[in-house]
Amino acid sequence: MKIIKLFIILIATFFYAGFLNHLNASEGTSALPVQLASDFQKILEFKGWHADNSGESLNAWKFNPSYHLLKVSINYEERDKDSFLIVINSERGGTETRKAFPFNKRDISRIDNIESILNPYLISLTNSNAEEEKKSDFYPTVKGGYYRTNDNHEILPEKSEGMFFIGWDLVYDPLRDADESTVPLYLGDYMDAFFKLSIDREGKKFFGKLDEFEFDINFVLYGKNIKKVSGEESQRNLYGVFTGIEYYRPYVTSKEVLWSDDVYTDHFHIQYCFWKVAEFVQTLTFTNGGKELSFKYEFGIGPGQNSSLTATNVTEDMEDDLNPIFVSNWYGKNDLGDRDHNYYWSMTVPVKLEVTADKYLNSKFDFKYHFYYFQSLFDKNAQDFLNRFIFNYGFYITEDITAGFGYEFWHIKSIENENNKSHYWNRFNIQMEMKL
Amino acid sequence: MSIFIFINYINAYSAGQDKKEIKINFINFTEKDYIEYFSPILPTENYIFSRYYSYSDDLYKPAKGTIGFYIGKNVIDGKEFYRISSNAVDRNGTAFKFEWDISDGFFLNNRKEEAIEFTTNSIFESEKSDINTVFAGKLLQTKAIAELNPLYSDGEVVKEIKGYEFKYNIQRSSTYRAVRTSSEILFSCAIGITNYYMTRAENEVDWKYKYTWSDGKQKVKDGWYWDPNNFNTNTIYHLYAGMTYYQIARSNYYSVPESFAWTFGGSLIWEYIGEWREQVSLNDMIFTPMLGAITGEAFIQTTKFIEKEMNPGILRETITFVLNPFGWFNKMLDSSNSGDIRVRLVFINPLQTAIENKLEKEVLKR
Repeated sequence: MKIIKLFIILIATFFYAGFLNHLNASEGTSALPVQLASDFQKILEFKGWHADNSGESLNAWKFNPSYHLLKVSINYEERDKDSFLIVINSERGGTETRKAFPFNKRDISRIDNIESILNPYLISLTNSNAEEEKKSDFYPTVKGGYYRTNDNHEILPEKSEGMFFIGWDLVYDPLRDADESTVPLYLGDYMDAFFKLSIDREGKKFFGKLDEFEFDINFVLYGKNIKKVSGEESQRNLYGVFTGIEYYRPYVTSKEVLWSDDVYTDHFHIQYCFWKVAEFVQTLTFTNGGKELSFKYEFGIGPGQNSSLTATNVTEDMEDDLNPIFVSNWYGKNDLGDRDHNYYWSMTVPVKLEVTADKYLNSKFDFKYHFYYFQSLFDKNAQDFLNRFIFNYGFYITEDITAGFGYEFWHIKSIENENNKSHYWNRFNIQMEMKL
Repeated sequence: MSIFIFINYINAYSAGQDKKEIKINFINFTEKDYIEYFSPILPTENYIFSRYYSYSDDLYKPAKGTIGFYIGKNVIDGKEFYRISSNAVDRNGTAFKFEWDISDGFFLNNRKEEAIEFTTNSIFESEKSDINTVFAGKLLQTKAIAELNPLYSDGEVVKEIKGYEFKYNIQRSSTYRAVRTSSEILFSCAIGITNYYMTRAENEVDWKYKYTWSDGKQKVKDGWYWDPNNFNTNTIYHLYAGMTYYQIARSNYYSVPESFAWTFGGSLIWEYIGEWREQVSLNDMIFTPMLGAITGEAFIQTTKFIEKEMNPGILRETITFVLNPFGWFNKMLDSSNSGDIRVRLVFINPLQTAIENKLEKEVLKR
């Protein structure tokens, strides 16, 4: 009887042990691909890729030098009673590949050993791809033309004050042509850098003086790109927190905006430069059969310096009564008397709204409204409000070149305690734009 | 010219030194050849080499305790490359061979040294682990290996790993990068100081301190303030200085946040040492690194765009130099140093090796 009991216990023990082994093996087989994918994600990140890992599958992408998306799935497959296969399916640039690596079952727990075989193959999947290398994720536009400025409400140019200008806009946007996806953007994964230079009125002293200069640079800090595609139609939502800088020194010679005639007769005194510490930007783009409609808004905050109309037409006699927020000693340095300078340190809040319709009626339409609020850091009763309306129209004379015109209206209101001033002017541009 | 050398290495470390001793047995090779050819490329910082010369027709056979280097030349796409190859056997008895094809040009010895050091280290490590594991480990340790191409048997199921092909880009050490970055930032500060004293009349309006230790301490005590400089001095000029510091750091392979830290450091040096006689400007400490980093990165991206879209030539070089002068300089220096290095690591079948050796000796009479 005892022997029978012992036999039953032994049999039961063997079954239980077998059951446990089976469980362990199952856990091992399902955990192995997950572990391999997780380790590969770390390697990708070491090599400068972004990666999104969900169990046995992994989506990895990088933006530099162009957008590369790599999809990898790692699976366990039984081969025979002694061996198993790790099957790696991958997809990149529309090409699918599949490779299977056989391993002995007794090595299933030796993950380092398995990875030393698999990692070189996985890493080789990240090699630069000739097709992808050729693709450029930069979208440059060159703009050039001629404009005249009026210091009143009249649109048609009357004065002989004109400037030639050239503008350069470089957008680094690796996800513009991406397929349907939701991709997070990290520092520097999107950039928009715009520069505009105006060259001496009437083209005199062409290289002697660069009269007006403007630039606006924005980098994403963290954002998201969501794209939905349906046939020829697509909808893109790009939003996030950006950082950037904006600089503007226009060429305006009206007495209203000069410091004083005897000190400056040909220099501008409407100017600002600020660092956008953080700004929220959202762009919605709808495309349909080559036509594109986009809406963009942004708002932010950051320190900077800007001029004010309340410190224009200041003669030397009036200098002592000037608000001490105007601090520059530039005139003193240049033997122009013990004079201050027309700018103050401020906190700036820019707000921008923009709508662009491209390729409609074989044309491109641009509507922009930019508003800036400048608050002095050292006097709570000193502010400036700048409004800028812009409209551009361009007719496509070739696939990538438009010829057209633009109109800009500017309005400034300056407040410094009891002192209030406002001024406006407008510009009419004749211009061409080319997408490179 | 083709040369065989056998290197017998000793794993014991010499007393008082942290170097590994290597015995080199040169065959058909003279001391003069050694001085002219090998001495400049052997990594003497890490190893002590003792040399033995002999004359023999023995064929090159990998054996434990031996590193053999075969030096020759190879032509790839009509271009002549230096070839350094080496056979060895790993812990499991797998024979393997490294083949390095190294382009000629500036800093050739650096490239040869890197090849010998990488090969020697891999062979040392293969005593403790199999060569595949050693190589997989190197893949995770270095960014030098690029465009890796595994050599597998045909078919979807990988039944045999024949080896790996890859490109090798020499990486600058962290010390080298830090020294070069700080030197270049100091150099650009020196240019700024020269300009500062050339326009002394304009700048001395802001002078408060003398070049004395007590005034230096006073300057630190006085702290930072919003300066009254001209609009463009505070914006464009400081932006340009910050941009230069930032581009120097980026072209020395620092990330965006690290480069920003270098830019901030450059700005500190300028404010405390370059402009010793002035009080430190708070706005400069904000705007120099911030505006510099943002504009610097924008110009770096523009440079990348130009390099991608424009054909090589003087115009392209001029534009990239104007947009990113230190980046241009460092890139030239680094590409000259790294050159073009292509490597094959082949796992040799011992039987095949024996046949090849026999072929070499009896048919090709080499």
